Amino acid sequence: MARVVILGAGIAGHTAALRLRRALGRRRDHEIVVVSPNADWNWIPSNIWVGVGKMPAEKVVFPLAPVYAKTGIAFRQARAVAIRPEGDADDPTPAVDIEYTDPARPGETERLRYDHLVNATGPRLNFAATPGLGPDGNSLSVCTARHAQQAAEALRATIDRLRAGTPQRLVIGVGHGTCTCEGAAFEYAFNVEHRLREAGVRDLAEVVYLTNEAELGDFGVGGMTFEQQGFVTTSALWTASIFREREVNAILGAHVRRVDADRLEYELLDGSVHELAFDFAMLLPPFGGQPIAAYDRSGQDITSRMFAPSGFMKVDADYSGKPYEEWAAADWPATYESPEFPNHFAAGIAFAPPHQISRPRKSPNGTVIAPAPPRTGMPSGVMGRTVAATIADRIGKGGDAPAHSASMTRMGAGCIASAGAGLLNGSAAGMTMYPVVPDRERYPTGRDLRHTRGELGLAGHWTKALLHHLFIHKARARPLWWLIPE
Amino acid sequence: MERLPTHPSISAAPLPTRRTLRRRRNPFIQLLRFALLNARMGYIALRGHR
Repeated sequence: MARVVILGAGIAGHTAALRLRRALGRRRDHEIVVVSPNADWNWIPSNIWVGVGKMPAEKVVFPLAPVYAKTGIAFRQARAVAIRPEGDADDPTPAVDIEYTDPARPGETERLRYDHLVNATGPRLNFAATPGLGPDGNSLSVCTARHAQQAAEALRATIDRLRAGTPQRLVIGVGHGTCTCEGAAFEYAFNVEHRLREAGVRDLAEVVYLTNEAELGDFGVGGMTFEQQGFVTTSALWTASIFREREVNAILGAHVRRVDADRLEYELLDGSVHELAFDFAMLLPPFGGQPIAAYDRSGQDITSRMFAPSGFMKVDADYSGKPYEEWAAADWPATYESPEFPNHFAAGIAFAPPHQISRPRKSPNGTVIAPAPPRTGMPSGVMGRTVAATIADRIGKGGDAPAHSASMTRMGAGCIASAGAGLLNGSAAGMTMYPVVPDRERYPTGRDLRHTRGELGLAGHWTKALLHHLFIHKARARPLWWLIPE
Repeated sequence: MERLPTHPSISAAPLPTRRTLRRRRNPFIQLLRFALLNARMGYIALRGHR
């Protein structure tokens, strides 16, 4: 009997658990244990709609325990605090130490032994990186369903002030120079602008997109080149055109240094420092890895061997720290397995990327202002599935079975910013890219132009609504869920 | 508070033509785009699985 422990129940961890359970079929003698500090699953892409009051939070979350009970997966509502990949003095079997967050088991801890471990713990929302950032400070977030609800309430109050005739400045973007998920910030700006227009208060509202991207449309993937109607254009021009059409302004290449009650301070790539007053600010935080320690058999701390300084887990990537000019597709991991600790995997945000995708930049003051690489959504799901396939093979065919691979240089992604309700009243900006990490050896522009596109219209709006229902259907493990690709 | 000057990259960006705006809202054209967008997303999702 093999035991697989999966840390985290987000897109990567939940996908890995469901796919592995299905791959192992009726062989219930093999145990899959999911450890997550949260009782609920959250379809994070739809938090954007919760954040503008278009959708109640209950529609984007559901309890995990019934899904795992139905599918034969064990569930521990707990957080991992330490990994012991070589076991401990009593037993050489690897183990993970967990602390229960389950209200029914307060203060309990457990050492869980395993044969295979998947670290899919997702991001630590590092609001502390910028003083005053976050819902406990002076800005809002849409990273969790609860944060999104708070943002929706604040937006409602802002709209009320606009209706009363008071001009308002709404700042939407990222709250630190090293943030990722600019696509989510862009989508929220798109939605807020639409909501203001719907409410009939757009003329008094100034919407400002504040970002660490050096140019619009970078999205942390170094921007994209599109081919449209026989012309080659860029995501920079495409995004600028969307902003001009919607009268959204932008501040580019910015690192937020401090957020006060009604103003924030930011530094630009040229080193200049500015202040910006606001009435509403939704600023995403930078991400870090979850604080998990690692120990060898003798109890020596080996955290730095297993994890990068950012807290993300090292896998089969090239961490040599090459200069930008030497970055290559081969730097990116393919199997997500730790080379030093076999049968230990990291999927989704939890793996340490070898470097950014966008060109790294610093201000003359030495402040890093460069988007971190996004690895949420579709890529996270694909990684979860790939790792599950590897583990299933090793359980079924033996430990020598080769690992499956899914490099982000061979993986595509879609990003749809959809706003509005109703079949004919919505609008969306949709992008697809292949691959996520540019491969200039295979494609002159780094990506396949046939599958890298951006377009606006109702089609994206319908697609986004369809994906919301499909992915929640799949995450609930409802009939034929496994037919839905990641 | 005074509005910020528009970022030069935005003020220099092109606006969509009337024809483009109509295409974005035409249900028949959008139905076709919907099929193409989903086919493309399905293709790249499956390609990533190999």
